[in-house]
Amino acid sequence: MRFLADIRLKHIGVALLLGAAPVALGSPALGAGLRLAQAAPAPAAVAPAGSAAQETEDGKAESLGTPAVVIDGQAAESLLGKKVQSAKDEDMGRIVDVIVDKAGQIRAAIVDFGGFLGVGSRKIAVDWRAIHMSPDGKLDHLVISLPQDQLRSAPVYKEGEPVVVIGPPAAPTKAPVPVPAPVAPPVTAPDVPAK
Amino acid sequence: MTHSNTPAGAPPIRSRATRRALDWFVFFVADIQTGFGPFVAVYLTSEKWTQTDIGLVLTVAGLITLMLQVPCGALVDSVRSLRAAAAVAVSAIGAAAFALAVWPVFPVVLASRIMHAAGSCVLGPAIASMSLNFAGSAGISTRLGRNASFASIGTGLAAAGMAACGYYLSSQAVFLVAAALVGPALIALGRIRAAEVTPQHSGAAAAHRGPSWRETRQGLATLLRDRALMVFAFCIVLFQLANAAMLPLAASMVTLRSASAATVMVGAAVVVPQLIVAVLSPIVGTKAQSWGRRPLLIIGFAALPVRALLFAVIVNPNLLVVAQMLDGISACVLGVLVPLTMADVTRRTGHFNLAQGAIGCAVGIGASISTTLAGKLSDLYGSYAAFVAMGVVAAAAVIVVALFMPETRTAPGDAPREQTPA
Repeated sequence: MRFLADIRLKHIGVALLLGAAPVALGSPALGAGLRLAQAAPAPAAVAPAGSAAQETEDGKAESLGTPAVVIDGQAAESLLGKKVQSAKDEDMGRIVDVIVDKAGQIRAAIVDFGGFLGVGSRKIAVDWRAIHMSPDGKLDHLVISLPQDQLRSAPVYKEGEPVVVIGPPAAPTKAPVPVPAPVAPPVTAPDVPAK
Repeated sequence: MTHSNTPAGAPPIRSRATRRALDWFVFFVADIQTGFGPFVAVYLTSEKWTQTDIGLVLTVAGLITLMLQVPCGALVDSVRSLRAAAAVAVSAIGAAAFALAVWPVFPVVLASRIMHAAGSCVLGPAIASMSLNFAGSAGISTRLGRNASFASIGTGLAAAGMAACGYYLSSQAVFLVAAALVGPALIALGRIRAAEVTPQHSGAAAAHRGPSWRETRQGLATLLRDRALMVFAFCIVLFQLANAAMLPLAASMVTLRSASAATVMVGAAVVVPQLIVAVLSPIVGTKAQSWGRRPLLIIGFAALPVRALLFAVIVNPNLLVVAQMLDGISACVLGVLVPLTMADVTRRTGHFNLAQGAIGCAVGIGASISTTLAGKLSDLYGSYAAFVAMGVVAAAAVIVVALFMPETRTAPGDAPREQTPA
């Protein structure tokens, strides 16, 4: 039945088929509908698929068909590997991971900052609220509303250790301000700027 | 031509064509290999890989490289044609680059990394062996200097080219270019005359065909009893323990402290030592023959603790890049003297490539412990402590070299002995 829905989904837009087919056939049982829709490079507008009109965030099918939303390929893209720039168009690196708290809130993006061909880059946690969409409406990069200096001098993010998130949006000072409680107690890493 | 080795140890027929071809082959191989460094992580990130998968695939590839070193060395010792082995290895590396570029999914990337590991473990010893057979024991020192020089010109140019490629085209293009460079590499290899790079005598290397486990084991046992080799391997482990993490940590410091143009500074820290190696290696090659190996080894090893100390005390990022130039000195000495020492100590025992594999394994072990250890030290006690600790290890390596490492150069009149290898 789900498989049927997938097939029907593919009929929604022929253009959708190319990009989506491997995903749909690969994991129909996981209810890949939603993910599929996000990944699809199709020009289709938002449209319900299958008999169920209801959309579920986690993509779990609850009624006969697989609920799905089709998002224009240019309207949404994967976050991982996305380039980030400063407000002044300076290259700030790429997003390599996203930090989520227990409430399901995205707290920070891990940015691989600086370096040359992979040497000397630093992974830094940047407050999610300090990251914005590009003003020109394109998705090819995101913009961090923090000065480059603040990123380079931030402590390095290490998996499994307390996360020092820099740059809450309203921070009036230029100093890196660690985010309060839930995520972690603010810790200053040892190799903080020796300017 | 193959058996024309003269009793005086004078070089056999060495054509200019083969010499040039060997230069170019080394150059193109270095070009191809540059993409497979830390850049792989950058590329996989841009292909939307998670950090966990990247870490896993790189760790597995690293472990496999360690395990393949010795068997691949034994394999190269036993092959009939070094050129064919090199051709297969470089093609495998090219295929690995191509697969990485066109299909960056986990199983393909893992297979590609394994193929690259195997190819590299064969290619390194094969190049050194061809050089040794071509130049003979008297000329090998100069030849290895030349190899190191061309390799670092290749690496330097490739790094600059890759940066441009990654910036203007895509990360993927870097690996497509690497795969395409297999073409010129194979052309250069084809211009090497087989007869000139085949073992000159029917000694240890040429006697047996096909790798045998027993032979390898006996070879290893022989090598393990060689005092010079063991001391050298120990020194190399110490050196790498201090050396491998130094550039990444220093580069990270440059990123941290450089207000602007950090990328350019880190780029300079990577490329400038290559230029130094390119210029100095031929000199090291010549001097290793006239001065002997020991003085150069001591200079190369001594540059490391000095660099560690400078990194520990210097704050200015621009000066960090200047200190990084010392890396060039260590690198050109090690680049020439590691294979050269192997050639020296295995002159009588044979198993030149097995010895190279073993030392490659030692390098790998030292390097992998280094990054982990330095990372931990830097996290816990700061970069100053990490650099000081690396400096202490490096100084220990210098002391061991100075006190225990024997001179391995054979006296000029000693050359005929290579005719009667055990």
